[in-house]
Amino acid sequence: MSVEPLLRVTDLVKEFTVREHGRPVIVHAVSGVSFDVMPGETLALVGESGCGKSTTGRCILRLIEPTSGGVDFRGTNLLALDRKQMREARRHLQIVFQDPQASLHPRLTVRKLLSEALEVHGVDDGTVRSRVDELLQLVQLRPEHLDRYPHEFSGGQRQRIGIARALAISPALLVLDEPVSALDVSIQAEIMRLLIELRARLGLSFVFIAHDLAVVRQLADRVAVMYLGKIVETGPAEVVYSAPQHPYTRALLSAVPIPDPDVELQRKRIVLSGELPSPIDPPSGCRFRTRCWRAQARCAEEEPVLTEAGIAAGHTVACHFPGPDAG
Amino acid sequence: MIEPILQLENLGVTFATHAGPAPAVRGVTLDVYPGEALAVVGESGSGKSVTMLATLGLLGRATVTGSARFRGTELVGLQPSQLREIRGAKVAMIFQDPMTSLNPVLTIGRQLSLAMRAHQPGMSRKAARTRAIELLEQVAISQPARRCDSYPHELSGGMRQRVMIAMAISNEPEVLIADEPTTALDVTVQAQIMELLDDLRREHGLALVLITHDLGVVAGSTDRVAVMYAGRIVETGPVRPLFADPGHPYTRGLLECLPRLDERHEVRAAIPGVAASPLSLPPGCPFSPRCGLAQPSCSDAEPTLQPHGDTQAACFVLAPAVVSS
Repeated sequence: MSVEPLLRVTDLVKEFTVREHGRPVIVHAVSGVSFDVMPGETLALVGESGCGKSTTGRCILRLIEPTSGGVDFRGTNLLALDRKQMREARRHLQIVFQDPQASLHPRLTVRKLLSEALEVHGVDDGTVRSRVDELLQLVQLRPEHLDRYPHEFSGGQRQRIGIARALAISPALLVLDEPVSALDVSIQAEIMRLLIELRARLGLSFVFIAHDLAVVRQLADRVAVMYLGKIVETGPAEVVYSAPQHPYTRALLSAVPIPDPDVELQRKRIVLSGELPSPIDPPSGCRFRTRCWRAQARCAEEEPVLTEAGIAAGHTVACHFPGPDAG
Repeated sequence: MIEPILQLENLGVTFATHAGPAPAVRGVTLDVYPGEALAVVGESGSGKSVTMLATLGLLGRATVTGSARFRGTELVGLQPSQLREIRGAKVAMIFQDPMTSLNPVLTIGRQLSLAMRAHQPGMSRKAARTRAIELLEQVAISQPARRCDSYPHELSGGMRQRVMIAMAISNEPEVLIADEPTTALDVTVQAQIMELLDDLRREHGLALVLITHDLGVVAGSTDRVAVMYAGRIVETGPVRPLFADPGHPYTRGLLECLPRLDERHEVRAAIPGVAASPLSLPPGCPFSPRCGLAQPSCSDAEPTLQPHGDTQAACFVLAPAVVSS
């Protein structure tokens, strides 16, 4: 038996044209990214600034128009839809942003913010009221919150409103773009719990975009690690965390501090040298090679493609010399 | 006995707001010893940054009470001209966002030179430039001579923070206060910067005061910790016992709700509610409304720091006062 993926992203490319010293140059933001998201699954896109994870998330919903590639949702190619069809498709795919302050209209009450999300999709007036109450309960806000404005809430509560809005028309998939990064740790844990609970209750699939690998470990079923517009390693979260094969994944994981002095004392950190290359002129071959301690001549000549790492099913790595260092 | 280099005693900071006086820092007592790495930890609004800004006289409109001494010299109420001789020279500070701390229209070399010549009037421009290149090299910036002529916008976030660190150490300070120095940076860059700060501390014997919300960074990079909540230090102690057996429910809560990289675990929302606002502090222990261990008597008075194992905590329940007979 094989289950069809809910979302299939195929060879997604996004290039932006910008001007540098008056001349147009191309920024290679996303350079051929492919992944599947199964029903009920959480796929995390992780990586550092400029790796293309947010651009990928936005391309899925066509908030940014991809340059090429495919985005299939339940077998329908979203990139072939016209505006009206795309709006219809967005019933099933919604996005939650990092900063709810910036994504909620400051002059609208919570009631209005939530009703609007329903009305846009043609939900009739009679249903809107009861659905708004339901949504409020879903994200654990209280009825008296309905007539307040976004600025009257704490960051955590505002993120709850953002989530309620995204859930208004019962989507199947949420793209969560750094949903807990702007929050204090105590509030961050509350929102993570809420997301885990909603996922189970509503059978949601998540594309979880985050730079915090400790947060991702608690939420993700599968992880795709991105570097400079490409996926360098992907697989079941437990495998990628416990047996990372790509040198970049290993450096990235080793850089994350663990809140335990005894563990920290024992850890060996791989500190990367050099700077992230410009996406305007990415390195030839493997894009990580300029900072990789294992790079050989071949890495500059031949681009590594994602291949089975041979540790667990679905674990792939794009590296000519994967695995732990000898010695 | 080693003398503390920086001594805060009952330091208080109150801001006048349209909603009334807001006591952001309420009686902080803290010693910083030469060469140590001390973390001041807390969430937004805990008063951790304000405490250090007040120490250096960097708060414009605020009432600062109590005492902050650098090698015995009182900084609170000190003449601006005298304060300037200490600030930037003996005690330097770096901030979260290096872009807003650097002047966008001056080259890196010029800014470094200005920082040095402000404190060393006898230094020639030429000598300052030579020293600037040396400093950039010291903070591991490649092609330092070329970078001297760069403008801040031409550098990455990590490089800008390195420039800030170079500037901060340019006058060989004895204390470096780093306010969330890596919060705006990627994690691999954070690792680079923390390694650099650690090296500088060891080589130059300077004391590092790391203001941060990130207990992960604290665990790996500091010797001693002060945890702040609602403008007070609620727990302080050496890093290992504080993590192993915290004596304040807030510290416990912070550690419990932190996601860990090395295991998948249940996510615990260990601290319910929202942080106490300085404008409406609850009576007694300010943490009591969010505390699972709170007793009715916790609202009667505010606890002071008392021994709990190897740390000191301000909690009536976990660190009750020892009554001397």
